[in-house]
Amino acid sequence: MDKKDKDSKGQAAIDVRQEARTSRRGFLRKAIVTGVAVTATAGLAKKTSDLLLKEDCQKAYLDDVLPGDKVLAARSYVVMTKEEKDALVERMIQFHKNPEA
Amino acid sequence: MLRTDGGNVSEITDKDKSNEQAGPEGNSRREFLSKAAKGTVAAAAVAGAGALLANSDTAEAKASWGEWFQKNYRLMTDEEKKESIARLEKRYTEEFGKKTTVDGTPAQEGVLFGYALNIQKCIGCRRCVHACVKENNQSRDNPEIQWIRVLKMEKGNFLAENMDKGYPDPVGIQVGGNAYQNAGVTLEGEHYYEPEQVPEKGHFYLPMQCMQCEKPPCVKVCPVRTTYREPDGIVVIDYNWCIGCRMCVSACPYWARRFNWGEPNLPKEEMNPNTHYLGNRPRMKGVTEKCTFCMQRTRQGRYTACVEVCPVGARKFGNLLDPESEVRKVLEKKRVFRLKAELNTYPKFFYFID
Repeated sequence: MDKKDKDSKGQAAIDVRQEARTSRRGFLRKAIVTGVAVTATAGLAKKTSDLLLKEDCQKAYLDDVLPGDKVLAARSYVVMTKEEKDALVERMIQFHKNPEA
Repeated sequence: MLRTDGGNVSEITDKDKSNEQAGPEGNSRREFLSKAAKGTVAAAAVAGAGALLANSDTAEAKASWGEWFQKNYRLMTDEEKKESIARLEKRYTEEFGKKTTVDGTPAQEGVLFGYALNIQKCIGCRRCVHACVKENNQSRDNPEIQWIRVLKMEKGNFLAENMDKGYPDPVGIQVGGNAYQNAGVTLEGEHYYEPEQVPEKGHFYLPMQCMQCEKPPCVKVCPVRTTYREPDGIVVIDYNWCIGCRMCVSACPYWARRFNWGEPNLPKEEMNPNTHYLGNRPRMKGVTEKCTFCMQRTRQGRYTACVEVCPVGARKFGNLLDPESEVRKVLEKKRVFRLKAELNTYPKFFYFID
């Protein structure tokens, strides 16, 4: 194979690549590949973060509930007098009749 | 060199140009792609809208669409409430594989529910806790959400001889006998106690649940007004309107609200199909829930599940507006106290001792 022939074949290959880069088909291919890559990366990142940052529902639930136990248990409770009870019932009946009060 | 071969490039450009300038038949690639894209978008839009609006057979698709766009339950017309309830009934029936009813019974006139609990009688068996979980379709696992928790407390200063002593004399008497001493102490997590036998020596039990306050702080802080007080005194939540901000959880002075951190785990076979829209219907992730005095029962004239199941009759329930009701009798005759009465939340859940 002489040098000239070799050069022209090489040039043809370069041309094909150049065309692929600059043509619409090339652009679309790149866009699709990039899209797929971005989607796959995002999906993988989400899965990974979901796994790593997965909430421990049981712990979160207990964190909500348990602080109250201590606080409520460590209080003193005062028994109501007769007057207080009567006043309370009266007020509740009033609230019921007039909720805006 | 690449650039030196401008002929090829210009040739392609010319070809493209000639394509673009193709006649009115529009045979260029660009036009084809444009048409194809438009066609796809149009087809997808039609298919999507069709699935959402028209003849989707799955109850869930319909329910999702309807639920996302429904109003706050309080603002719905009767017609809209009926539609919403029918939608949910269909969805739950399909989802749980059993005929499920969603009740929408409103509060009855002349009723204000109140609750009283005898802490001297309570033996800490926690049957109420489990009956509540079953009745109200709470998440069963990871976590098991419990609306009632029973605090196990060491008796400490809770002595019978001290009950009539202590500060403040003219206002009331101290359960512990002294204003500066606690009624008892509990250990962290002690409401999950698993004793062989109850009651345990040297302990008493303090069951806790939503106090259904007349002036509920949780209602005041809700930014979307999804939680509100019904005329019969029950504080309810429209789960579909809840945005999961947890403001109410923080505001409740009794730690009575529960948040669904994860998707609730409610096995089909354990689901209670008799539900109320504002009560025990299945909840979703990211919403708050709490005791509703079993409104699916009480608005039909039944007792709450916890009252029914209590083996020692420590729990009393009734209409505060009726002077002959059990709860009014308790208020009249027994020594009663409330939790955090100083906050003026007017809880309708009373504790009493004989």
